[in-house]
Amino acid sequence: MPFSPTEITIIITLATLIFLLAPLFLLIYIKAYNALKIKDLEEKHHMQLKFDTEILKTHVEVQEQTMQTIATDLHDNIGQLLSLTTLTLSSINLNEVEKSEKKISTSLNLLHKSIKDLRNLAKLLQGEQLIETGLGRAIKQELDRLKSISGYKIHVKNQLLTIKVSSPNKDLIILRLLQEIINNIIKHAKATHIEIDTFLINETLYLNVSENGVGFNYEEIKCQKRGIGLYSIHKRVEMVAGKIQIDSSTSNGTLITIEIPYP
Amino acid sequence: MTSSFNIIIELSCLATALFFLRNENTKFSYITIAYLTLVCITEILGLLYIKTLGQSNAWIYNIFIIFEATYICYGLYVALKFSTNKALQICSFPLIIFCSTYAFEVFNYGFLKFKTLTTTIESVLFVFISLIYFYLLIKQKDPINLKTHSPFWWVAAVLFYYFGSTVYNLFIHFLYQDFPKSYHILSYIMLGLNLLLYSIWSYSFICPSRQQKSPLSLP
Repeated sequence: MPFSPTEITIIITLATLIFLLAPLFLLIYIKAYNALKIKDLEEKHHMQLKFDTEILKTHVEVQEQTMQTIATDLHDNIGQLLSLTTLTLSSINLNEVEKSEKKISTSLNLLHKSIKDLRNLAKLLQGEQLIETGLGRAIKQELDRLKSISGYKIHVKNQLLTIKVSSPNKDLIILRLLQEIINNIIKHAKATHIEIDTFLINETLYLNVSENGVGFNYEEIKCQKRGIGLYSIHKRVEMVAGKIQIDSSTSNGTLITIEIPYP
Repeated sequence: MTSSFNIIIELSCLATALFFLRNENTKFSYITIAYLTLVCITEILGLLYIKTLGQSNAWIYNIFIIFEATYICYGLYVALKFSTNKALQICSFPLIIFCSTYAFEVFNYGFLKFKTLTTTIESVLFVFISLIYFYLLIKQKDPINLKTHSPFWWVAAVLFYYFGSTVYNLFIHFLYQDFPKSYHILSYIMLGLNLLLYSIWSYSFICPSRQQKSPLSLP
């Protein structure tokens, strides 16, 4: 069937319009996709800012923890040792040579112990270096502190002392995680035995902490949104894209298993 | 009448280019101004030729399409070179095809007949390269500020013009021979496409100055 000139004109006009619509839709799609990319970039930037803020906060918390440890150690340990030294020295009677010698020797021993403890405290004061020497060493130092200040039976299996890789920001967060867990145990668990196991397998760092304390109903605390310490632990694990599992029940102690991609 | 409108549109685009690109000091801005000047000269010459002598002005446009193909290839190269290191190979391909089909048409139909086959094939290739540009733009990780990104608008104009002119290229012979009464529609289509091409190009020439004023940090 032959077309009339008017029909031909309409067909050509419509065909051209359709041919123009195709690029128009393409440009609209590109605009929408670009807007998505901008949104994504802004979100990433926001997350990075949040992460940086958290790192800074963690730095401050680690420092605060260190200062608290130093204050406690100075007051409860070194202070007591020096007081005892003063008492021993002041009780010396120069006429009793044999007794005096014994007291001087005891005082010297007390002074040596004080110096040793002061050295340990000095190490703690080097906050940044704590992490620079490696995560394994930092954890060791933290656990040594726990051993010295408490009457807990502590069993440690720290396999991170020999690892060659490191990730400064993650190290700081992991150390803070451990500090938070230990603080929680000291404050609430009433435990007598603590087991800490750290190791690295297939680029995943494992941090397992178990104790024989009073335990708690994890789900209940989670639902009631109580427990700032627990919330803080969860948030930090999330920050380093890790996983955490808490197994606890009343009177049966607690087992915390943390897995973190590392380095 | 459409020819006069075409000349007005092209002169407006040239004026915009002269105003906004004069301080750009890039090779692309100089070449663009030179090309748009050539476009205006060709259109005016073509119109005068047909009005005064009443003969076909196809040979004028046959010369012009050499510059057109070269400029479009160069423009596409400038847009593509930031997205791929194969921009030169991609953009020299249409030029090679252009030379081949042009030589073929000159050899078979002479120089005075308009090179329809060459322009049709070139249109398809330009559309194809424009699509490559947009594909690479989507693929790239970083977003761009579309409002002020001049290569985006320059290539968009090329895509609109050459994709839209497909119908024109396909129907020109058919209408010329069988429906001379409907032939005028093609000149209106061409006028519309020219308006689209030169107005979007004009916007792309304004983009660099908008970018300088814009507080956005995106490129």
